[in-house]
Amino acid sequence: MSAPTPAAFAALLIKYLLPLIVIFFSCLLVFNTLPYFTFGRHYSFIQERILLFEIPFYVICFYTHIAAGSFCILSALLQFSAFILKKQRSLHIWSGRIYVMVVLVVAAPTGMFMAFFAKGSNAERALFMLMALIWFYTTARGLQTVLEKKILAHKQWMLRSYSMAMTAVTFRIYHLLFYYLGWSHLENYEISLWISVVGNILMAEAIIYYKNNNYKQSFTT
Amino acid sequence: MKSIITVSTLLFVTASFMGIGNYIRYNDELRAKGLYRNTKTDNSSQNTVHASGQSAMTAEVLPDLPDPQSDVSQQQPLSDAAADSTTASQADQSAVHSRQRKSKKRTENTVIQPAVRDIDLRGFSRAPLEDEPPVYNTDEAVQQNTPVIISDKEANE
Repeated sequence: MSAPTPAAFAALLIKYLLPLIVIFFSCLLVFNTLPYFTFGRHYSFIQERILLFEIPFYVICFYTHIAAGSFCILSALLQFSAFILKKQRSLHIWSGRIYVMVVLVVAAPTGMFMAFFAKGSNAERALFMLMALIWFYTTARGLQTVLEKKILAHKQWMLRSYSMAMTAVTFRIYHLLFYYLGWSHLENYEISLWISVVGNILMAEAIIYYKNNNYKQSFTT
Repeated sequence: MKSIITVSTLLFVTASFMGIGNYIRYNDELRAKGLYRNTKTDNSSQNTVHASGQSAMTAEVLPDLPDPQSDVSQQQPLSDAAADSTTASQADQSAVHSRQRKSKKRTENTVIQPAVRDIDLRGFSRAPLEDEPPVYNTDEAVQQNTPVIISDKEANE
């Protein structure tokens, strides 16, 4: 039996290892979010924003956003499985409905509200706003296209939507990586944020580009 | 299903307006409390507040604390002085600086002090030495504009 070529090895890694990494970090993110639901104030994230947490609407938005985000990340894990799509179609449909509803009604609007108070400079706040806007728009387009039975366009828009949802995961991976490289906290935070958002957008567009003959059409359908 | 998009769009727009409104009000409150930070001069967020409720801007008012690498016995009085100096007069601040300058000199002096010392382990304090430098009254030293010299015993207290 001959050894696999580098291209075949890379394809195997992407097919089997990447989903495992995504599942692991998604579950880790949700698991790390759970302690916040004790509603304690001693977490560093809250301590940094202790004055913001005196605004009741911000507190409501924060807890709603992290709960909705957890739902989104977990329900999205079921969406890209070819096995579930073929054998358990109703599971795909229902988890998709949950994802779309949660993003459009809860996660994106609360994310937009919280973006005004995000840590960092005005550029980082603008980035969070753009992220919320892209997440909302791509999810709405994903819903619209599936209602019009445009399955290919639905896949593309939902991939874009998922890339925005996954910024919460990739941001933490980069943040951890740069932390071990010894970067200062604020510098690490800003760079990780930009790389995670821009990187995820580029990754989604690259996948759409390589999987489709007419890339420009993916924006118009 | 299309009504969901309409309703959620309205929600999203409402959230955006609420964000703008609350952001303006929040910054006004920060200004009123004196905690607002200019993002043009500092890259970090004005929303980031220390656990004590102070912004980094107010924290900057505090004078430099002593070098942690310096003699441990020197740190306590200087830290106390630093904490008090937020409300202290200019004269008191000059006394603090005099202490800082003097403390470096005293660190050097400790090298040439006799190694034999009577140590009380239970009280974790040192008995005064014969070659201990004289203790001056702080207020008097400020008036005379002379450096304040403090003993190790005072430092430990």
